[in-house]
Amino acid sequence: MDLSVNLGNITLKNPFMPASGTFGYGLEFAEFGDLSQLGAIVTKGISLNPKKGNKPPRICEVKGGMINSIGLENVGIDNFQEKLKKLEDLNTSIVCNFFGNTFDEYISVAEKLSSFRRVDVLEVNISCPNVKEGGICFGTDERMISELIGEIRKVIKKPLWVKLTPNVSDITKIAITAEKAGADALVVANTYTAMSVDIASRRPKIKNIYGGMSGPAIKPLSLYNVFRCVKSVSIPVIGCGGITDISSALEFLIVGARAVQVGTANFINPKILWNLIDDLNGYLSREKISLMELIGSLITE
Amino acid sequence: MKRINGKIIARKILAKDIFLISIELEEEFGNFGPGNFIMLGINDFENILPRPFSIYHAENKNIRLIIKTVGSVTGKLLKCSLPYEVSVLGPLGNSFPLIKGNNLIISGGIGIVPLFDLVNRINVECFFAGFRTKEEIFLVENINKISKIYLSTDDGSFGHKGFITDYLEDYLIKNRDRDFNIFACGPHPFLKKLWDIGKRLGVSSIFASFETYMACGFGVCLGCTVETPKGFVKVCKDGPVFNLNDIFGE
Ligand SMILES: Cc1cc2nc3c(=O)[nH]c(=O)nc-3n(C[C@H](O)[C@H](O)[C@H](O)COP(=O)(O)OP(=O)(O)OC[C@H]3O[C@@H](n4cnc5c(N)ncnc54)[C@H](O)[C@@H]3O)c2cc1C
Ligand SMILES: Cc1cc2nc3c(=O)[nH]c(=O)nc-3n(C[C@H](O)[C@H](O)[C@H](O)COP(=O)(O)O)c2cc1C
Ligand code: FES
Repeated sequence: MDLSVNLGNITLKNPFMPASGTFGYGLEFAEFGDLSQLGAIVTKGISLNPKKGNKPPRICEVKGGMINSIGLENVGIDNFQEKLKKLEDLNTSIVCNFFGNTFDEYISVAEKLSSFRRVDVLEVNISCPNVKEGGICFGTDERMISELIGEIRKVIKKPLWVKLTPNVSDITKIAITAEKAGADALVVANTYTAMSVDIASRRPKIKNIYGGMSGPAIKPLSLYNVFRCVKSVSIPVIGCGGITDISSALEFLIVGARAVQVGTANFINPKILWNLIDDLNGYLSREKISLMELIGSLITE
Repeated sequence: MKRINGKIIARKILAKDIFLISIELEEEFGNFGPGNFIMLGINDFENILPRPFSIYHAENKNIRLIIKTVGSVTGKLLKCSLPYEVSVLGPLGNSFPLIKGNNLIISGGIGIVPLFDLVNRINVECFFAGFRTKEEIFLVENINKISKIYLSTDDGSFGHKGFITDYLEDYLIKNRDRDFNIFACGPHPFLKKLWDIGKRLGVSSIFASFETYMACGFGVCLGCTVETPKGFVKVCKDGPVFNLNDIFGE
């Protein structure tokens, strides 16, 4: 079966890739399967300088999901370049997720990342506070998104994916803004702001009080966001949120996601991405339908 | 490190809230070191994340864990009807160093599990095992066969009355002219107390296994981090066994 998918200016061998921050820098999963078989590898969010992250506890489980407040801990772009060397021989696309604490930092990281030969796609995480503008999240403000994506677009030639935050009142406005500013594809979506309390100690289970919720419980929320974004933009949409098995992945493809990212499920079963490839093959042959026919085949009347 | 499906085929109550489970795996588990752990997953929408447990025993296609009921998953493992499908990811983490010298082991409660196998692999002069009360005592009869053992309960319902760390301290004071390695596992305040005693009496090394919440167990989620004077460390990958000096030292 042909599982390849076209995402505008790049074609992936299949629609399955990890979500940033749940797959390390890639090699950690080499023990579970051949990394070259994946549609792409998406690396942990990178910033200009190494970042320590938030104080522990950083994670807790909630029914059907988890909350994390890792605080974007990462090794910084220079150490990342070293790690990239180990991915040199892989026969799959490498998507680098990145962020900045300020507007200028976003631009510097983007410029530097795009100069690395092995980086195929830049995925910008806009769910970060703008330190210079009172900590408002870049991804919730249309003006900031327009300026930021527009400027990144000017300095890089490689494909640029924009990963949207779902913590906004109308995600389609943000999607349209990102498209106009030059995004090649959208990833919908990041985690949902949430909290949990330990009743015995009456303290938040996460030191940072709140964090981002992920896992199967958020799937219906992200699915609806993907559905709406697909209708409002003409660039490809990559679905992300709560995928744990083939049926949840199929739902995203049916509503029109051209590819999907799998996050938390990598912790539940580190072999999940390889299983999904097999299961999609099985599904398509059983149903006698091609992947292209399946994508966006939602029937609403 | 492998991920293997299996099912719990037997369960035995060992003490109050503490039980042993025997898991039949689809593949061989392989070798492991004392202190290594596994991530145990259950197929349950409510508890999506696997949980870390020390390896009590593993041989061929069988692995055994000793579990204390403290919350949701450990509660389900106690009550589920058998056979019960699970997944096992491991072996994970580092293990206790197998070194020569005057070795002492000290455990608090369920912390005895990762230390149990150490008695078979290094020379141990004495095993100090502390429990809260008589009903919570388990496993010690198996250790007694191999090594000298000190037993205490906080309430004095069995063995010596009081905290096991106090008995270890007495032992160290009586043997002040000798140098010891200490191997430990127990709750955080217990380890802190041990560090204070070791520092006061000049013990050369204390190796201890730590517990944190974990999501992945193999270094990718960055969720199990603890803060140390030298920066953040990952309990699942840099540990779970640490030299206490690296955690509490300056
Ligand atoms: C390396 C290692 C080895 C271990 N070995 C063993 C072993 O051999 N035997 C054994 O019995 N146990 C062992 N443990 C501990 C075991 O992993 C936990 O007891 C288990 O994960 C509890 O799961 P649960 O679902 O039953 O509890 P949960 O329901 O998840 O939690 C128990 C309690 O903690 C609270 N809680 C949960 N998350 C948070 C948070 N982020 N912040 C604050 N409070 C929170 C809950 O509200 C609840 O009160 C080990 C742990 C580690 C790290
Ligand atoms: C532990 C953890 C770390 C994450 N780190 C990042 C990150 O660095 N950058 C980013 O854009 N998203 C990050 N995410 C969000 C995921 O990439 C994904 O968007 C989200 O978890 C929803 O998908 P899921 O339900 O399949 O996990 C992280 C998520 C988790 C659980
Ligand atoms: S548990 Fe995921 S990094 Fe340690």
